[in-house]
Amino acid sequence: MPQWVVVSVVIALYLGVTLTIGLISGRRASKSVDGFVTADRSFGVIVLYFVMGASVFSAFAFLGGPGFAYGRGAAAFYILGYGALGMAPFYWLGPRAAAAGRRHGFVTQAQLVTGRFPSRWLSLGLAVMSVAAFVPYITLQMRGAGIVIEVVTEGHVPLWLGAALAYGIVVLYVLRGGVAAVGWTNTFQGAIMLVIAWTFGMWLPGELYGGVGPMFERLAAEAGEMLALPGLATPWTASGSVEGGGTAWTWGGYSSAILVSAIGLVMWPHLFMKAFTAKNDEALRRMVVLFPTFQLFLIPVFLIGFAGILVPGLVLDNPDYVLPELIIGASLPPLVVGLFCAGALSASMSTGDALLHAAASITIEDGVKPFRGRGKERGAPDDEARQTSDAEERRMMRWLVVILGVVAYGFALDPDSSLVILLLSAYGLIAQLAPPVWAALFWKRATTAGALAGFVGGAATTLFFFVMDDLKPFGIHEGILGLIVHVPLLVIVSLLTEPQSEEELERFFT
Amino acid sequence: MNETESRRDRRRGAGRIVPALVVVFLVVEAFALTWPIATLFNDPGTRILGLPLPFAWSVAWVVATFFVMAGVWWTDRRRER
Repeated sequence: MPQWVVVSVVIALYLGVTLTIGLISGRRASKSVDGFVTADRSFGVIVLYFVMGASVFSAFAFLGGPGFAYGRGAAAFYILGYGALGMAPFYWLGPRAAAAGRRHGFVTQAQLVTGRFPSRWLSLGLAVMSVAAFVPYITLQMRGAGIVIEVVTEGHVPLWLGAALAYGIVVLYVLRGGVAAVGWTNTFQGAIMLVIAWTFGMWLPGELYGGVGPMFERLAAEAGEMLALPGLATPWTASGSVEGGGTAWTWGGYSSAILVSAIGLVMWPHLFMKAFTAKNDEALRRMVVLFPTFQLFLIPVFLIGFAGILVPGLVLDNPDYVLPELIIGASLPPLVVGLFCAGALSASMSTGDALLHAAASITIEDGVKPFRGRGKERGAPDDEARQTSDAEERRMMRWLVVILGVVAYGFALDPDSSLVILLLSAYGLIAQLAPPVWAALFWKRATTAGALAGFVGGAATTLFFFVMDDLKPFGIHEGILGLIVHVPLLVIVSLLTEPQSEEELERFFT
Repeated sequence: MNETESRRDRRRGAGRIVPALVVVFLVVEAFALTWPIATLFNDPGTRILGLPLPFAWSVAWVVATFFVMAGVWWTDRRRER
């Protein structure tokens, strides 16, 4: 039997198991908005661990991680640097947000922020920014899934069909089970990712160089600059030779990439919202403690990338293809190639489903609902008459899952799509969510005017320096420059405006 | 003040001190992983457990974060009990 047929069978089996888990687990949640968005706040530590790990480490990490190490060398270490650093504050932030969620029924990050700083426009701004950051992110996950399937089936299953199959299944189980399906499928997918990455990552250096130590000995001798920080800003492959290829990254760029990513990590709404899914504070705290153990899967991921650098004749225009190319080149049994493909699909789908679900929930909860009554002015006379019914909201969210999936799929099929450029600026924008969230929960003197001024100023500064790249001092990330404007604005405007009444504060904090 | 109250006070104190110590640890970690401290641990020729020093340095901080957060969790559990 041809290899691609065996591989296709393994992929089909994997997709079948994922769909089954998604459909079955989705039945456990109630048929309410709370059930769809927070799984009735029922996730324990195991599901939280995998849902956070698998959502953070997407196709970008599984395919882009080796690609980064292969093309840009030590620059890849920044991904290792920011994960644990960014997750640790969630030990305190997560339980506080979860407690506010339980008290007031919040299911999204923007509801938490606008529960403290009442403003429909702030809610809309947060929703627009989140969805704008999500769509290109989902698109890249879809493309990643399509590329992997296309490569390992030797082109017999084209990108458009592979992406449609994988994400058709994602849409089905998200529609049916909401975040409960996301949680349990991510548990399955996260476990697959870890096993495949560690197995292949530890095996490959041994196969090609006789071990991890000998591999780095050779690399240090033949391409030492690839192992020294801050690595390369552009892949060496463009020049065709690893010696002297690629331009060096600046320390400012490397350092600020770690800082902005650490600040922004748990501010990604699809991750932050998982605080509302926890069944108790203890589950959230234990997840934060255990998170670095998931993050260590980047070690084998990077080993795979470094292993590719000295493979004779392996000069790839797109470094992200290094993992599938090495798999194909290693002449592995088709069953193993199929399992590798399942690992890569897991990485893509486990992030894509969380994004799709969060994008639909945020659009309705933060972009539509505040303008239809509930959340606008709690307790207003017309509140009940105008409020959107629970069932209607849930229906709208499910429609949006389909619509957003189709939109992202359309972009995924366009190889010239400039969405990647949008994604590059996403972290800078997402980092602007950190000050209002921290201020909402920890600084009682912060005011709505301060939060709005800081958010607008920070986002505008980030976009300005993203467009005017040459003006960035020392190559510092635009998100950090945005925060340098954001935080003082929030503090100064808050101190210059009237404090929120004790009554308002008490309503939020107790 | 009897022994039980004094123990309770000490645990309450730990509840305030531990988060502050973690903030200090995270600030140190941020400095350690970025310029200029990271330049001191940037020799690719030095290897630890087979990994070049800059790689091992980043991994070590991830492992350290795990142990520090585990310590915080353990302290919290003791205090809550």
